[in-house]
Formats: sequence, structure tokens, C-alpha cells
Amino acid sequence: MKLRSYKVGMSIFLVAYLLTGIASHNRKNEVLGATYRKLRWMHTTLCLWQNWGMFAPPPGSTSWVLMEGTTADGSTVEIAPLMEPLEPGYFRWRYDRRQKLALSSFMDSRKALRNGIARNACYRAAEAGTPVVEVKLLRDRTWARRPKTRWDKPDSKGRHKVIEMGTFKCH
Amino acid sequence: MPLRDILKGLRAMWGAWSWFWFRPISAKGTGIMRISLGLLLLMTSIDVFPDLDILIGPNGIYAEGASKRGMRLARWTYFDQIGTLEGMQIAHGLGLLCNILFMLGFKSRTTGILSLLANVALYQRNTWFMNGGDRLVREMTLYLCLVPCGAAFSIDSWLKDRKLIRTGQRVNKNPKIPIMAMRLIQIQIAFVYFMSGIEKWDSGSWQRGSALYYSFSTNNYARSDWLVAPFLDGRLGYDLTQVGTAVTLYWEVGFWLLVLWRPTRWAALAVGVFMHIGTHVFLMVAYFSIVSVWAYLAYLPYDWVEQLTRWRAIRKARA
Repeated sequence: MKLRSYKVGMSIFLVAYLLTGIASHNRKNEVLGATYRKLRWMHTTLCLWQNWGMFAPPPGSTSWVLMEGTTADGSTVEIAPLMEPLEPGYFRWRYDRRQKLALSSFMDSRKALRNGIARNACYRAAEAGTPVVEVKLLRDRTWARRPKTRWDKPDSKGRHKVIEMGTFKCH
Repeated sequence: MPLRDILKGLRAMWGAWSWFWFRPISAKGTGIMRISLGLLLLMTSIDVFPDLDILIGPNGIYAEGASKRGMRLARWTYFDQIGTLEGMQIAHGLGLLCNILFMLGFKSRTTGILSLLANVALYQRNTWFMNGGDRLVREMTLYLCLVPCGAAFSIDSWLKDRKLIRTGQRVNKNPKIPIMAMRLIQIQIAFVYFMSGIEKWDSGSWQRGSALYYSFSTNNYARSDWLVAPFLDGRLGYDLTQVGTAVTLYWEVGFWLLVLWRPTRWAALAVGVFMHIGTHVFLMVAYFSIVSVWAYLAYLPYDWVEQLTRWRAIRKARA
């Protein structure tokens, strides 16, 4: 009896769980879209999303988030970034989750994350004894060179651009 | 159609469903998988500890607005209710303790679910510092906890056996559990590769064969610039990355088909192990490669631990 209840209960779970996974990739379909809206809590509650577009497309550039603070008297100070840009000859043992945070912030839709990075920068600046009134986030981006350019001109540099990601007031 | 035939058909369908999802298999393979997955959960928790203040702390980086909206299904994290960093460290430490207990197999399913919840709580506090590998670890933890994953190689099984011995009963040396967790892991991995392959298929650099070259070119993902330099600085290295790009693309799209048949399954898994080791050595992808290779254990014969034990015994006897 116990085994049968287990099988029935798990069967219901399996059908709902697998259906949610399939529906999450077919949201434009009327039936599957409605199913996903009804059952998506199964994924959201435990954060079990089924998006797997790793390296598609691959990153074409190297980017670092840099921060500039403005003090009350109007002068500009540099704030330590979440992760320092790597110098040539580097080797890393450990996955850096601060870098993951920085890389996640480049999407325009992630305003909450940019706000969070700026809020933390304000806090760190104050802790370091240089309180700032606002923080500017910058994306320092260098594009990868094409293979042929790299081979023909080994000393060349990739295209480089500094992009402003927004200015945030410190509370 | 007579009712009797309909019922017979339904019974046959239920039988096939039960065979696919609930057929009993040896618990030993799942026991080894629980231990190694527990270790991965533990490594994730330890890995996050030094940066806890920045990642989730009261002055750290998290969505302040979402946090203020209060508890709901999509954001129930207890870290929003803890006001101090010390409190968060204690809560995270308790999660770490659950990881250890899950790994050792003490109240395996309960500590497994608690480990999963602790990981989700971190994710919900700050969505942006975890990656696909962390998500895969969470999914695998859930799948293992749906079956009695502590039936072998665990404190649970040791306590159970001790109780049986004390009461003079026979100990079950080869406990069986439903196959469901293995099936879910198999389906999950095949789904991951297929969806990833489909997305790559539409990408120009994957079609042109330059995807690996560009992945190695970025300092954000490369483990070391001098380690990837041989692939970037010369024609031969570039040709190798082109072969790697093509193999990865076709292998990902076709993996689900290749694992259905035993002879091609071994080849698909061997390519996967090679590819993941390569990815882990050259790129920073956290635990994604490790958990993917871990999941390959679900594709092995379900009595692989017994087969290994027998093989070792035969070798020992011959020696």
C-alpha cells in the first residue's frame, strides 16, 4: 500500500515537473503557455530553471566593471572594483563569484543588480574613509582579435571601449 | 470496446510506466552518487563563505526592492529576514552542516532537502552570482532525494543494519531502491545538452567553427592566458579549436540519441568526459563540468558497484 501511494504520488509529480520543463521552452504555444503559467511555481520555488544556452553565442570580448565615486566636494575617486582586471601571465585556481556578478550586470534589464553593486560601492567607500555621494559604473571592454589579425600582427590590441553603465546616488 | 479490455490496456500502460520509473535497482550506485554530490554541495558552500558579505550580506549586492516586497513562492529566502552578517554566517554554516550530513548519509533525504533549500535560499537572496553548474547541482540533489538515497553507504544504513543485528534479523546486503532518480538524471543531462546544442546551432561562430577560439580569447572565462595561448597564436591551435567546436556542437545535439544504444552510449560518454575535462582545465565554469561528469554515473549499468567489486575480487583471487 505504501509503495503504491509512493508510485502514484511520484507519478503525479513526474508528469507535472516534466511538463513544466517542456512548457518553459514552448511558452508561445497556447496550451503549453497556459500550463507553464499554472505550474511554473515548481521551478521558481526551488530555482530549477531549464535554460541551458551556455556559450551560445560565445563571449567575443573581455569586460571589467570599474567604479568611480564622486565625493561631497565634487572630486572624483576610484573605488576598488569587484574584481581587479587580470594582468598578463595570470592563472586562476578558483571560480570567482564576484566576477560572475560583474558579468551579469552588463544586461540592460539588470538594473536591480547595478543598483546593488553601486550601493555596495558606496558602503565600501565609506568604510575606507572616503565617503562618496554618487557612484558611476563603467564597463571596460576589449574585443577579441580575429584569428588572422592575431597571427599577422601579434602586437596589435583588440578594439577597446569604455561604456558608461549608469550613475547612482548613495543614500 | 469492452470495459475489461480498456482496464487491461490501462493496466499494461501502468506496468510499463512503473517499469520505466520505479523498477528496483541496487542502492549502492546511488549511495556513491549521494556521497559525491554531497561533496559538491559542500564545496559550493565553502566556496561562497569568504565572499558572503559581498554576495548576500546586509551591505552586499542583492535586489533591495525585491527583498523589501516580502516573502512569496518565488522569493522565500530566510536571508532577507536576517539583519546581520553574523546571523547570515550562522545560517550558511547550518546549511554547510546539512551538506556534510547528506554526504555522510544521516537522515539522507531530509538533510538532502535541507541542503537544497539552503542553496536555493542563497540563490534567491542574490540571483546573479550562481551559474548553470549550481543549478544543475540543485536539480540533481532534488532527484536523489526523491528515492531512498541513504539506503547504502550511509550512516542511515549502518544504523538500520545494527538494529537488525541486535534484534536477530537478517541484514539486507544488497538493498534495492526505485530507478526514478537515475532516470531523471539521465533525462536532465540529455535535455541540458540538447537545449544547449539547439541554441548553439543558431549562433554564427558555432557554425563557422570559431566558437572555441573566441571562448578561449576572453580573459573573463580563460583559466590562464598562457594555457590557452597555443590555441590562439597559431594556425594549428586554431584548427584544433575548429575541430573541438564542431565535435561539441554535433555531440550536444545528438547526445540523447547516442546514449539510447549501448555501443554508442560509451562513445558519447567518453567524448563527454574528454570535453568536460578540457572545458574545466581551460575555462572557468565553476562546477558545471564536474557535476556533468558526475551525472554520467547514471548511464552506467545499474549494478556497476557490484560489478566493480566482483572484478576486484577476481583480480585479487588471481593474484
